[in-house]
Amino acid sequence: MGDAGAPIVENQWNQPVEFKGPEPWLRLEFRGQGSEYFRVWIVNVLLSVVTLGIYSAWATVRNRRYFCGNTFLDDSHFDFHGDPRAILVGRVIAIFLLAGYAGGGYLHPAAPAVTLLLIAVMMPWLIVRSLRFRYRNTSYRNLRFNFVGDARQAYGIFGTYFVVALLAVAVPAGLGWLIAQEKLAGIGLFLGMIMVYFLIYPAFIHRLTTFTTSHSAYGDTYFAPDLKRPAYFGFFLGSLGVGLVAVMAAGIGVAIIGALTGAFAGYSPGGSAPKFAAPLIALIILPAYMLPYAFWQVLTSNYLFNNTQLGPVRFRSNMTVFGYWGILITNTLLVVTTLGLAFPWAKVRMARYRVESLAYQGDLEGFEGSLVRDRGAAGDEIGDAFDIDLVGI
Amino acid sequence: MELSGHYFPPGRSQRLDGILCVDAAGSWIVMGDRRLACDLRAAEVSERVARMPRSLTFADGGRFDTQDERLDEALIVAGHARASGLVHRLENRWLWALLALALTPALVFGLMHYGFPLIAKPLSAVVPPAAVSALDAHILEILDDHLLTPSELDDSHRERAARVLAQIDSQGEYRLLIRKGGALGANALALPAGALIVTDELLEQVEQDGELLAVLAHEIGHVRERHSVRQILQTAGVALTLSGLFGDLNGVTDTLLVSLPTVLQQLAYSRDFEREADAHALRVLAEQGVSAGCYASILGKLEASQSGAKETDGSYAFLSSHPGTAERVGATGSAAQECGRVAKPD
Ligand SMILES: [Zn+2]
Repeated sequence: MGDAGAPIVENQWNQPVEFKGPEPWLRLEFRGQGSEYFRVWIVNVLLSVVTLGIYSAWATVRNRRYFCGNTFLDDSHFDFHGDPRAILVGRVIAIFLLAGYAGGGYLHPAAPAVTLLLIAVMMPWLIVRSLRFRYRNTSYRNLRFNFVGDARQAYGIFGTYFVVALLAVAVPAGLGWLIAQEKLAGIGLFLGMIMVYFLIYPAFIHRLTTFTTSHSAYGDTYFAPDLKRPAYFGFFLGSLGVGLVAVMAAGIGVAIIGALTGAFAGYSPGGSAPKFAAPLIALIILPAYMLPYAFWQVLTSNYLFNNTQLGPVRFRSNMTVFGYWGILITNTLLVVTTLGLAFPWAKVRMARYRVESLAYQGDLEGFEGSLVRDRGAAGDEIGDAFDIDLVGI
Repeated sequence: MELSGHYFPPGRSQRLDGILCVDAAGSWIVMGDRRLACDLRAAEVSERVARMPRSLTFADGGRFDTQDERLDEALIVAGHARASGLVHRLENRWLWALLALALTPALVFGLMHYGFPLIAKPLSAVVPPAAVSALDAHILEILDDHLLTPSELDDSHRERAARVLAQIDSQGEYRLLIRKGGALGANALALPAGALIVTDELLEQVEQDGELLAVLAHEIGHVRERHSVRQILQTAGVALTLSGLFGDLNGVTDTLLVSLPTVLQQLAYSRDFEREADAHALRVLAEQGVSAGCYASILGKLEASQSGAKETDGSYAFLSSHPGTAERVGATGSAAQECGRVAKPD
């Protein structure tokens, strides 16, 4: 212990990372174990149930500490210091929003729509607050991460792209209407939607990712992303194409099973399809739906790490779409067949894959930071930061 | 006492190998030839999670991490009041983990079966009447739009229904609505705030006033016990619990695990509610001096006319697939033939 991180080790999922420059690429390591996390998880679950959910905020902190604490970079682990009370506040607000959306319809037909609108309007603020809470409470060695983006900037980005999207639809549709009424207005509308879908949405994700990354820091050193917009067009088109192919393949598979089980049942009026048909069909359809998700996640995440620098440190992420997809599928099977009991193992597997696909290059010892810790700011923390799990970017 | 670990200076990302030396006179961190005095009593000790090293954070922001098990001892020597770390001890033993594994399903089951109904009952009384009436209007709108059509019966049927209701509702708390049932068939529904919907098909089946009285009393039982509101509260509780347990799973497994037990739970709840409403109906029949046989009689007729109607969200169908009609007829303790004898219609 104590010397520089272990030399790069090939693991079962990964190609070896490329060596470049004078310093070697070193891999991050995940040291969590399913059986150990199982104990943490089940005790958390029990205490959460006993306390009617109140303990779940404390459980969340322990969970995060477990995953941060087992993620090792140069033989030092990360840590999470969030105040469970802040998480509890966020959770209570989230429950009210959820209730408004799910149950509000009983009271007033407009309630779910109003709640959705409220969530949409709050979204930029929520993202900024959640990121701030997460980053400021995450540490590596003795330095905290930080997020300095403010809600005003986030509203600017969301607002701009919203207006652009609106114009992209309204202008072609309006022009079409002026030229040939219904005939062309529909086509204009369609073109506008295509534009929103294939150009504006990926551009928005690119802008948002750049914003959140460039306003993140480790100590006083900011992350410097160099993300190109066209790459996101590619990821989006790619995952859409992959999804289309996968769903079509699944459709053919289901049709074949339908024909085969129909043959088994002998097409007799009373004969029902064999019992294994439904699970078999689920086995084909679920992976098909997961593939585009895996594609998007892996490509955007790899791209972000590979093109972001932190002071002298650079990163490489080489997750593969099939590796990630395989874990998604097997995890789902594992969890469903064990009625949820294998959940801790599933989570640990995914975390290990994500962490151990990462490598870094550069000196980690030279970072400094003025924001040493948030001590004494606990009250402030509850008031202004709450944590809702919607930061999926 | 000497504990080896790492020292992290404040405000930097450096890690230095160090040894924490503690004795009665004070404590120091020794790093090579450097010696750093530190105040262990003022240090904040991190809570323990699994095998993670524990951290001591000093007043100046410096931190010392160690895996050494003797840290607790060292803290006692230094006079530090330490937190108990109870949760960590639970997590650390397989015995406790297995016990938690056994206890959790039992607790979840108990909570869903006894806990939520117990909480929902008093809670339903607090729900403001305005919200409940809004619920009524909303459900009625949905029913009228999709399921029910205006009644096609003549006035004699309506007058009879109004007369029977007046018999058990002297205060005029309940509103009688007669509709053509369509897909619902011969049925009666109670809306949360007290609207009672009776279908044409049901009224056509009624021969004795006592039979209609039994049906209306059953529906009033649902209203009085606030079953709709309780059902909504209970279902919300179950859904929240389940999504809390498996909250951060990726999408697909989520819905599978969460929605299935909720549906099962809903069926079980409504069974209890039906029993409560039946009990109320039998009480009212006894008060009115009407034979319980009338209840058995109408239940039998409805059973014959349709094999179980579906419950509509938020309201209670009179004839639901559960509990079994045979069981309900049995619970009346009378035979259908006794109906006409006691309450003479005319
Ligand atoms: Zn009923």
